[in-house]
Amino acid sequence: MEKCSFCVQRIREAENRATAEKRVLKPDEFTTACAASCPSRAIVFGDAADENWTVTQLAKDARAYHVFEELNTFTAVVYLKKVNHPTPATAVTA
Amino acid sequence: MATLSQPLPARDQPRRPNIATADIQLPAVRDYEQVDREIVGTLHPTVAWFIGLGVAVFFLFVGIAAWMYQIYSGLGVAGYNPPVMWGVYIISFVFWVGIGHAGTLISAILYLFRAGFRTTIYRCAEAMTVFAVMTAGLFPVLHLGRPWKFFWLIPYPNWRYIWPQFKSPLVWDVFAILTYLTISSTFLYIGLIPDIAVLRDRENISPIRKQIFSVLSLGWRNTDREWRHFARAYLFLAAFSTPLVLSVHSVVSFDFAMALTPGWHTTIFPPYFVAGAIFSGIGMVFTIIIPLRKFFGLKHYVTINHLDAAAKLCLFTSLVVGCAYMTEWFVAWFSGNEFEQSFFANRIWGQWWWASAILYTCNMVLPLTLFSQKLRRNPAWLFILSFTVNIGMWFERFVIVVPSLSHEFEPWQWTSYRPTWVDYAILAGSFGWFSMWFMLFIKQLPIIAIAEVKEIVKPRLRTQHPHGMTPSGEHFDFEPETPGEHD
Repeated sequence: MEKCSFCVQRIREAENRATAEKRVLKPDEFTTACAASCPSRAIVFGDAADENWTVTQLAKDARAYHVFEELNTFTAVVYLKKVNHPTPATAVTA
Repeated sequence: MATLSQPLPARDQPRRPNIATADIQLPAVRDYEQVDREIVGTLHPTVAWFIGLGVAVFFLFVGIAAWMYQIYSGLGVAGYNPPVMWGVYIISFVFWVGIGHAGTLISAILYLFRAGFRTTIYRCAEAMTVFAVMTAGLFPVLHLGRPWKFFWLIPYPNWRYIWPQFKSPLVWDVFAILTYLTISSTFLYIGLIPDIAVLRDRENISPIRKQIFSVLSLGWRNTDREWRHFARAYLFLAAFSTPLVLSVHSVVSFDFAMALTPGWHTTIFPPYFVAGAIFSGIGMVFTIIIPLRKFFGLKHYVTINHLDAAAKLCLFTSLVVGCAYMTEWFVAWFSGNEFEQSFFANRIWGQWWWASAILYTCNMVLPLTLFSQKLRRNPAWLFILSFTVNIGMWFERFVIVVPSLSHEFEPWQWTSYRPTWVDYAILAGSFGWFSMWFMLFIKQLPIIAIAEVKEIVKPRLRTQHPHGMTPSGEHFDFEPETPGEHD
């Protein structure tokens, strides 16, 4: 078993490419291998500090939650709650 | 040393050979030649030593074989079962790091405090420290599924710009342990220099040995200037390693305290771990020094008084650890935190109640016997107690690691853990590894600091009646077995 590095090599590659082209990173310029190969597009990866990335928009969703948020863990991974029976109360903003 | 404060005997009364007095710490050691002869004499290999070394190497190979099997089959054979991903290896890691604490405490802190009883036991304790830290360092690697990637823990430039997570205490561990190993082995070596010179200057020594010892003693010639520099260097290193004694096990305790897991997430952990480490380390010193002083005939160097003083230190740290246990219970109750409360109830009455029972009996109850001076001065009891102390301290780490992980916040994850034969074989292998190094050490280098013992033996010509002699000039008859002492 090995800890996930969030495909640091892909991030570095995108950063180096942007530096070589003398520009800043574009939104959604890189993603992880698992997100790239996910058939149902269930995984989204990106720079959560930048407003323009898809992942930042999704993390603002009303369904978004962190595991053990009540223990102040603030993990880097955000989950979206699966809603089986939509009701008027579950407003979907994304 | 408090036990030395007896009044001086009258001049014409013969001194008891093994019992120190205020002015004479080693009554049965008469002169420098005797120190050289008896301590260097312990270096001759004996049949019993070869048998001991063979047993140690055998257990080491048992451990290596189990490890090879584990690498081949995966960590599942070590009984790991999510979420209990820390088991015997982490327990043993903390256990061995803890053992490695007494050495530097005895050699550095007690040196700064001018505690006389350290003189004859510190070399043994210091060697034990170095080898115990070497053993502890193996366990995080044994714990890896891909041990050949262990160097990923060390920050080094690489093309992927991957850097260890410095927010993780596991990375602090690497630095703490490596620093401690470096400093404690340097300290051991610096203290050995004058003694290596003694070994080098022996007659009938093989030329190869003489050359090795010449290099290791750094050309020591016993001059005033060398002694002055040596004393300053030793004092400096003692002061330098003193904070390390406290920091290393604090960092090890952060492995637990920085996590949110109930039973781990407490601020009491660093002092509690340091006290426990010193407690277990002194236990291990007793386990080693009591047989050594018997088999090497060094009872008049490591006297009952020295054991007595070390036993008091053991008693003190046991009380500190006991206080920490009770504080943990109190805080669990007083905090009103339901996770913490249910965890502590589980610790005492749950699945592993027997481990807690062993822990509290061995660490809190049995050491209380050391309040009795008779038992403190009884090496046989100290030897037995040293085993219970170390068993208790191993189970302390078991009680910290396993019940916490198996009963975390999510009840659906609650599970059990059972060590397998691989765990036990590797644990036995670690004892083999430690004993192998120690066995090799005791026959190559003196187990008692020759130079420091000479400092407390009265020099010839300074008194009218040389120390160890009656006023009429006759030597005492040395009796290793002193009547009236439990030795």
